[in-house]
Amino acid sequence: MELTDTQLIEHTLQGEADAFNLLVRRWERQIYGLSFRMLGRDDEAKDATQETFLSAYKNLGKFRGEAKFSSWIYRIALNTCNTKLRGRPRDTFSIEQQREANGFEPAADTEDLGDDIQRQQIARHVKRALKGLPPEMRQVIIMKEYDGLKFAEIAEILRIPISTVKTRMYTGLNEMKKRLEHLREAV
Amino acid sequence: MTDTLKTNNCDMREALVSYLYNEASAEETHTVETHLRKCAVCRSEMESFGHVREMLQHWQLEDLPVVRVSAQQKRSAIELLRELFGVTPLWVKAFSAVAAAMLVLSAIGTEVSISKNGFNMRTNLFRTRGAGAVGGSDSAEIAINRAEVRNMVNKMVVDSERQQESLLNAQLVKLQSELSGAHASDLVKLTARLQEQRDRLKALERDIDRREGLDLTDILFSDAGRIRKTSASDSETGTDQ
Repeated sequence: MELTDTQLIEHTLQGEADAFNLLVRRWERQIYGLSFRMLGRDDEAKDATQETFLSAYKNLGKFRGEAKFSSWIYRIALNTCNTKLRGRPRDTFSIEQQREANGFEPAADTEDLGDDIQRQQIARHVKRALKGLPPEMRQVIIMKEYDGLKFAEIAEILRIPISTVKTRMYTGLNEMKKRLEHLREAV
Repeated sequence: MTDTLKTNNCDMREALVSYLYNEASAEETHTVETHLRKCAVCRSEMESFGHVREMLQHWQLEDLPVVRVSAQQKRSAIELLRELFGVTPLWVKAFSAVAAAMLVLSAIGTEVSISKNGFNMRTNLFRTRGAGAVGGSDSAEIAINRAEVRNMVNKMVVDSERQQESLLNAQLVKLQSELSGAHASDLVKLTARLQEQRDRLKALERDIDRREGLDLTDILFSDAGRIRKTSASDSETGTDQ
């Protein structure tokens, strides 16, 4: 029978290093995915993932079973990503700048392309549009759309009210709508 | 809430988002569905949100790399140091590097100090092993070493001076002997040359005397002149000898 996260933590704290390895294997893909979508770069995402688990391992004694391990590790990961983002020069794009950077009308360009290429084109625009969002909106959209977390879980991770999460989600979706409007015909 | 609203001022944001993600309660679902039937703005918004969600799903990370963070791996000291340097801030790295450099320098006998005059570094690579001292005896030891070095230098200077002097004397003697040798040979040559010159002078004098003693008839009558010349030379030879 598979051990729960809480049981694995208990085993780790009792000195079984293998137990923490299991936790890492269980969550590394999600944490990398979150980091990559937040940071947009593979090398930084890998670094953030390693730092997240290293920090979790060092602070495992402070983990209290009140919250889920997933919420706790997500919070560490988001803090790590936000620290990295703060260290970067500001590079958010306005919608006008983004359209200018795109340099083409995707509806016309993508209609003759194969499905896979079209999907990649759209994915690139989505990535760019998400990158242009403020991190507080971006992280909510990522956790909701790609990790399938409930609003209550996101609120727990971010330690903010559920209503605030929903408001951020709403605002974020509106922003994305404006940024991806030119792709609507292609989808 | 009417169909005429161009912007969404319905205050339904949270409910719409909950409904969009199927997290609305039964009561909330009923409220939203009722509202959507009346409000074109919210209907349009929900439709566009649906499109946004569809587009968001195009960005999937199919090949997620496996990022191994193992707590079990036994790592070497070098790997641990590398990891430590990988996560520590730059100023900590710089400080550690300076500390390590100072440790190495002190181990090979180099003293590094920071005073009001600035950064001082004194190498001590050639100190002998037995000369190592601790604490307050350092200055005394340095004084002893300095005196020893001074004596050694003085001795070397005296020895060098002696060697130079003897070498110079030998060179002078050699030069003198060479000069005297050269002088003697020159004197012999000069004497020989002087003798040669004297002989020439005498020969010239004799020739002049002979020419002065001959008259026209002697020249015209060579026999008589020849006889006279012979007798004259005979008499000269006898007087010289």
